[in-house]
Amino acid sequence: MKKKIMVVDDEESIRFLYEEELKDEGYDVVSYPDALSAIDDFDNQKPDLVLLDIAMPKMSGLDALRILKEKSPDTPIIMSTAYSHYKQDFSTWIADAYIVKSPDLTELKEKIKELLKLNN
Amino acid sequence: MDIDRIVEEWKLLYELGIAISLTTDLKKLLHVVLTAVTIGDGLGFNRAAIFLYNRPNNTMDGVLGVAPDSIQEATTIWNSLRNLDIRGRMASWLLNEINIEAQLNSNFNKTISKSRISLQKDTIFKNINQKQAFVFDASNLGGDDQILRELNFEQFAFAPLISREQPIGAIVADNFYNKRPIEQDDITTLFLFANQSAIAIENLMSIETYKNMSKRLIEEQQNLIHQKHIFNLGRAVADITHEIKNALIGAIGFLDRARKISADSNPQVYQYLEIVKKELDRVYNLTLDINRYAKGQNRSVKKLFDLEKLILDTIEAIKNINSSNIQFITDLSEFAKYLYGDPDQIKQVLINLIKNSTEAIANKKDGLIKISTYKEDKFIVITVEDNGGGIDIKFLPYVFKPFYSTKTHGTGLGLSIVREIVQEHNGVISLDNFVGKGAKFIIKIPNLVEEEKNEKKDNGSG
Ligand SMILES: Nc1ncnc2c1ncn2[C@@H]1O[C@H](COP(=O)(O)OP(=O)(O)OP(=O)(O)O)[C@@H](O)[C@H]1O
Ligand SMILES: [Mg+2]
Repeated sequence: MKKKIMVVDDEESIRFLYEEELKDEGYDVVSYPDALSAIDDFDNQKPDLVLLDIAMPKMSGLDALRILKEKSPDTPIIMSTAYSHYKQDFSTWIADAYIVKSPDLTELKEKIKELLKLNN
Repeated sequence: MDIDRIVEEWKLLYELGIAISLTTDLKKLLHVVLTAVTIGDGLGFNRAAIFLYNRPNNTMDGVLGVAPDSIQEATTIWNSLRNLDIRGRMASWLLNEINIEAQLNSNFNKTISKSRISLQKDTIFKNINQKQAFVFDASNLGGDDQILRELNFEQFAFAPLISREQPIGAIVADNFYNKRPIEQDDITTLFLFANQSAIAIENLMSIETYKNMSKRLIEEQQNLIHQKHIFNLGRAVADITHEIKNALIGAIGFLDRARKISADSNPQVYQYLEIVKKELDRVYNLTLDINRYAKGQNRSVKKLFDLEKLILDTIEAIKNINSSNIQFITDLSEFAKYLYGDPDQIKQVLINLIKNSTEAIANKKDGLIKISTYKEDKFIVITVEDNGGGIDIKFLPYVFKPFYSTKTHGTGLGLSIVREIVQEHNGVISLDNFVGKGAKFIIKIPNLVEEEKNEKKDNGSG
């Protein structure tokens, strides 16, 4: 069965890019423009992995991370942002991985593969 | 004391008062005061000196002495003044015609202005707290009044300078040359004049402190404004680059997809997209640079790495994109083969420096870039040197400043980033600039590996 990835990012074209690239990799992708709607739909979708942007209006990715980890501690979450300085922020430590956004998605794809394999 | 004399005295004090109140410079005021004390038409003493109270040190510091250096000089001055007849225009004479230079150069002044007398010790200057003037003689001098003894003060007048009830100093005056005895009238006039002078001196001193203070305040304020400005600029730059970077991630991401699709089906479209990608990559890398600068360096990941290999690889990579006729020379010491640091950051340093060098020699036929490493004391030294004409002296102070560039397409961040990274490695960067010939950037980074080894050795033997 196809693995399902939940993408949360407020930038439309980045969201679409992730969708296209990850579908090409053989995943099912559902995407959300903000953290609240993603959290609302989480139980319904039961994704195998979440890709979460940090800097978003309304609810930040860091808050969403905490809520999602409470809901479902075993679902791997990858945090993504434009800056690497969040690595120093303690609140991201409960995330399973952390990537710096880049047009080159190789690193992201590898991380996803790795985490999904671990979870099997 | 007859009425005529009293009127004369008040006229004199009035005129001196005008001279004093019109003087706006503290140093000049001291000359005016002492000249008034010493000229025949003034108070008529032969020699006079001012000491000011130095509160923090609790000392009396000699600030000026006015006196002819010999009896001959004294006579000459008195004769010339007598002929001048300055009565009635004393104020303007004092303001305009004092020979300040000559007064400063007298031996008397040189001795006085060197003197510091501690009020903790035995000295006649303890009398500055008294609200009256005195006639003293040598027997009144304290153990610490050596300076006055040296200058042969025998009978002399002593008047405290009191302003707003506080002693701020004292005037000491005598008749060393003509030996005229000092009378009670002389003392009274001196005391009144000293009080007048004290207020003026204190006013100018406070104005001076105030001026210095407000100057410092203004400087500090400007500094703050500047810092705030830079800070805001940094924030704005970071915000803008964030937006640009995010936009580019989408753009380049889809561009890559489009390129892949067109690769087989439409080689021409593929070629065009290739160009678009190259240009967008350039902008994208720029946002990374700016971010690195504006947001502060990422924590570096330091380890022991092969510096020699890193340098050779970097040169190779640059040669590949820079197909011009630049010649690279390396002189890499085996003692500097390894470095403890963040290889990615050091690579960035090399790239930025070499990029500057290639740009400096871009229009030369025999462009040369030399990269050396060596060990010096506790440092590993890396130098990047070119023959690109160096940096114009007038630009030198700015080259390490962010956003400073003399190039049409430069962002001016290259050297700022270099410096940040070097600092992050606790190193120093310096520049040997040979105007008209070339520039040599020298980076020294502490050789931590060596230190570690030594520490271990020390522990082992101890
Ligand atoms: N090797 C060199 N020879 C001559 N001038 C130099 C050299 N290196 C730096 N400069 C001068 O210092 C300025 C600042 O250099 P810096 O690397 O910070 O910015 P830039 O090269 O102008 O722009 P950027 O590196 O961001 O593309 C340059 O514009 C140039 O005038
Ligand atoms: Mg540069």
